[in-house]
Amino acid sequence: MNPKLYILCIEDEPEVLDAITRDLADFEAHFCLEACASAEEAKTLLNGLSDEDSRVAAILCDHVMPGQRGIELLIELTESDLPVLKHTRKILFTGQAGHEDTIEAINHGGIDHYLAKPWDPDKLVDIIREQLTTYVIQARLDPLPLLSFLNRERLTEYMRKHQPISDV
Amino acid sequence: MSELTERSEDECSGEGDLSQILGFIEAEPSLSQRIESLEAGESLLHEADSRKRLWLILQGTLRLNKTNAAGERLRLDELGPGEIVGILSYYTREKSFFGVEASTDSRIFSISWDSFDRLHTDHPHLHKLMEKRVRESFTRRYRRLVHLHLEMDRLNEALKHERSELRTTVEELEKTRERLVHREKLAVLGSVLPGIAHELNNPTASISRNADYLESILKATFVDASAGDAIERFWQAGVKAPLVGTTQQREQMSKIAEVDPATPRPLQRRLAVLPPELLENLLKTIKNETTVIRCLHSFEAGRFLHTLRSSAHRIERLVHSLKRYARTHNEAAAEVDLAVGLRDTLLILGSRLREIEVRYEPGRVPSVRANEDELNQIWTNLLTNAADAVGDDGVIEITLSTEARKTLSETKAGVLVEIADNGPGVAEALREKIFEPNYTTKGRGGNFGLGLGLGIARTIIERYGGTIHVEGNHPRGARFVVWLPQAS
Repeated sequence: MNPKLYILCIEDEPEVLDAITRDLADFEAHFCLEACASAEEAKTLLNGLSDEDSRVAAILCDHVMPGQRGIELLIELTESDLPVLKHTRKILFTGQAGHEDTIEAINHGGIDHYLAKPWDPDKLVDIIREQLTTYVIQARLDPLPLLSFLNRERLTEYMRKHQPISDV
Repeated sequence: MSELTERSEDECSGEGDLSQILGFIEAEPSLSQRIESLEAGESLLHEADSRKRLWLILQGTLRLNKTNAAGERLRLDELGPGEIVGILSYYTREKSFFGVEASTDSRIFSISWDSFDRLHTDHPHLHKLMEKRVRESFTRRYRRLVHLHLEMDRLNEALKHERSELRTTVEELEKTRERLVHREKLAVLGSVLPGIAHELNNPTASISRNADYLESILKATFVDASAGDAIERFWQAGVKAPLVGTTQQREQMSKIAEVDPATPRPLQRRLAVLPPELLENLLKTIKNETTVIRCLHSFEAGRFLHTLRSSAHRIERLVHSLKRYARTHNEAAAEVDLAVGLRDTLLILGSRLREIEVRYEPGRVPSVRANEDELNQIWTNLLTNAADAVGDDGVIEITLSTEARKTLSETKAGVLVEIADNGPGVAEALREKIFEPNYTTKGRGGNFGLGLGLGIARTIIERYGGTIHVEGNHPRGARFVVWLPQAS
């Protein structure tokens, strides 16, 4: 039995946050989508998750936000040892990040993907699907229930090579 | 180079010796026939020659040369009357260390090593005099060596100093170049901004207009006569109401899940952005899915229109600010109400300042004479600086008051604008520096603010006879104080 899987979206502009969650609504068949308006809110939510049999599969985070900025949050999360954050895929999502910020994100933030605004909804769904597939493989989850939902080819390939043993 | 020929105090005795030697030589035909003449520029000895002779300079000067590693011939020393050439080779029995040539027409007394050695027995007195000349020649050259060392040391020091000055100059030049490039970029940006603003205005206007057209059509579609009040209320809420926050959304999602656990999460999420009273209303009818969806659609259609319109409005405001930023300031000064200008600026900066507590109680103050756009840009600059400076629990306080200022001859009534924040403040040492042109604490590149630099702010304010400075804000933060004379 797989744990309860979450996708966290962090974005300070309500309209944009609403649009992202709408674009990702299809993933809710297997993942629980959580929308947060700030880094603080995301951290409170994550701390609330830590006791349960829950795992965060992916975090999609805006960079330019009041309070803690996206990269700072992702760095902090990368360094934290919350069990829910093991193997979590991190996607930085921004309309404005300088060159230096990008370098910092890649070097220290453990960012897995960098997505520029404005975004193409189909592309966003593709990217998240690939990242979730990678998560399922790295966290050694049971890929069977997710086969038709994520990247079938990669998951089948993985199943051929490994006997699924849970590592989360 | 400094003086090449240094004459020491033994010159006088040297001259005395020389006239004695000369008298001796001239009286002795076997010696006087060894007196030779050299024309200026004529070479006596090349480096590494093996002439096995000594020469006593009777008249004129001779130059010592030495070839350096680069193959250039350096002038090392000049020898005058009474000095002896060829001493080094004589004592070391080596080939000539220097090259020697006449720098003026000269007369020299030439004597082979053998004859010189024989002087001891042949002419003991002359020998004694000549030996003294040799000693003195050495002494002078040694002294000169020491002087040269000292001189070299001085030159090295001077060189070191010059090099460090040069380095500073190069650094300065690089900085200046960077500033010029930056300024050039801003100038280019300024010149293309009006065009870009214009190009942006058209699609933005079209978004706004189309949203208006859609509104009447959508409203007619959803809120028809058969629909009843409920649908209209949802429509209205969508068009007007702000979205509920994420925390509240989460709470409402669990409430929905409690009432009807079968509701799929995406639908829960969509319902959870409804204003609480409408959601309450809808939860009662949740068994009738068609109605629920119809109400939700009505709400969402209205909300999308609202978002479309507010986004277009945001672009419009941005374009407006960009145009103001790019405008050249040649408009005439007029009587300006600072309270109105500050209010407008706060309006434009709305999104920049959300999350920050802005305390501003607009009072009535007399008008000042200035260009309103220029002043607004200064407020923009001061407020965005303050917004950048404060962290969590940021507070910006704006105060407007009157203050008379005395000059030597008169008392001037004026208006005081104070913008204080609770950020880290401005270090004492920087309180003047921040008003220098091109001073910035922000990173290079991407940071393109809408305001002007503090340097330009000061220039503008001083042009209107006012002042701007910064002080500490108790207990922490910075307080920018602008004073402008009241319009007469």
